[in-house]
Amino acid sequence: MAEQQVLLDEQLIACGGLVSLGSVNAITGLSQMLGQDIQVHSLNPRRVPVQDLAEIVGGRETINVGVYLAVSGSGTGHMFLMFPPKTAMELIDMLMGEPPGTTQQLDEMEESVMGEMGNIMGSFFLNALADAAGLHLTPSPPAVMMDMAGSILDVALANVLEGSNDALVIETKFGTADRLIDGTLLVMPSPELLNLLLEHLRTE
Amino acid sequence: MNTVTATEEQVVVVGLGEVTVAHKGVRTLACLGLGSCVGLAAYDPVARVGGMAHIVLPNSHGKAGEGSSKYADVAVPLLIEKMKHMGAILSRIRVKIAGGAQMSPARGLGDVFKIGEDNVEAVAAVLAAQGVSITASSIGGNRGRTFRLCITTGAATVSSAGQEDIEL
Repeated sequence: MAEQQVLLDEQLIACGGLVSLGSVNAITGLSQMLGQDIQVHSLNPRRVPVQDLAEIVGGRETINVGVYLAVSGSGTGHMFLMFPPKTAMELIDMLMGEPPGTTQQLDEMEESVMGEMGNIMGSFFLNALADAAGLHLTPSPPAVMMDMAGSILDVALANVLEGSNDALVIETKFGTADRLIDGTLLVMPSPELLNLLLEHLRTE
Repeated sequence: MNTVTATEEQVVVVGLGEVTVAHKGVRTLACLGLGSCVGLAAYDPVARVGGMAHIVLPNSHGKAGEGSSKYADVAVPLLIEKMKHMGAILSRIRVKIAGGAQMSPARGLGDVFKIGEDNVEAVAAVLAAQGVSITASSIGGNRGRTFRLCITTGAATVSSAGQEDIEL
């Protein structure tokens, strides 16, 4: 088990370049959608005990707006776009062309705006990765939730926990330079998908 | 030691896949932010022994060993066994459950979000097999829940975002 974990850590590091292509492309997608300059603040591929994953977004009880996408195709995985509720609502105002402070809750319309944002970022991430590695990867339709971080992440964590007590996660923190907009993109490739990326790197 | 620290020490968080029976000095056990997971609170009011399980998946399919308490069929018997060691008696143990939500209707995501329902069904079946009935529950729906068990009184409380706490 320990040996396998070391291998996976090395795999994650080896795949760092490929993965950063995905992250940068996802942020480009968001920038285009918003018409604002969004930057990658930090990019951190790593292995995290599933227990601790919610700490990345403030802990299990912290309210987040989350967009979930399942990855399928050549390999599987999970993606989450996570924002503090205030930020999500500011982004919705921006996209709807409303004055700041207009959006106060998430109804069907607002959820669909957030879903589209997740869809664009997810597609941009997967397209970059798939093109670079010669894979076929597609995101599921988005599921939008506003609730405690733990409850948003549960479904994916349950799936990860079926195979391992650790999650392989690519954590991208992004936002505007003034940090008025801050968000987190979490991508959790399955070990099998990570292996495919590594195979590509070996044969390149 | 100030009061805040003392209070913090008395609350023990039961993490994903953990089974915890309160030792001396612990006032509250808590499962935080349950979505599809099920929190199970068990309490013997006579012995004042209480425990919680934070169940993630329904069925271990025979996988035993480290980390297997994330499965309902491993967690429930383990929790009851641990409570008996602390002086609880099976016939006195009361069980309350919370969680098992379907966090999103998730069109196009197939059965991904149905796992909450599977977890609740599995927990109920395993409890029935142990001869223990569920005395109260807050399950299903599309909301996250934090579930707390007070060891001194046996009170089990459910908290959800933007809602009043409910005592089960």
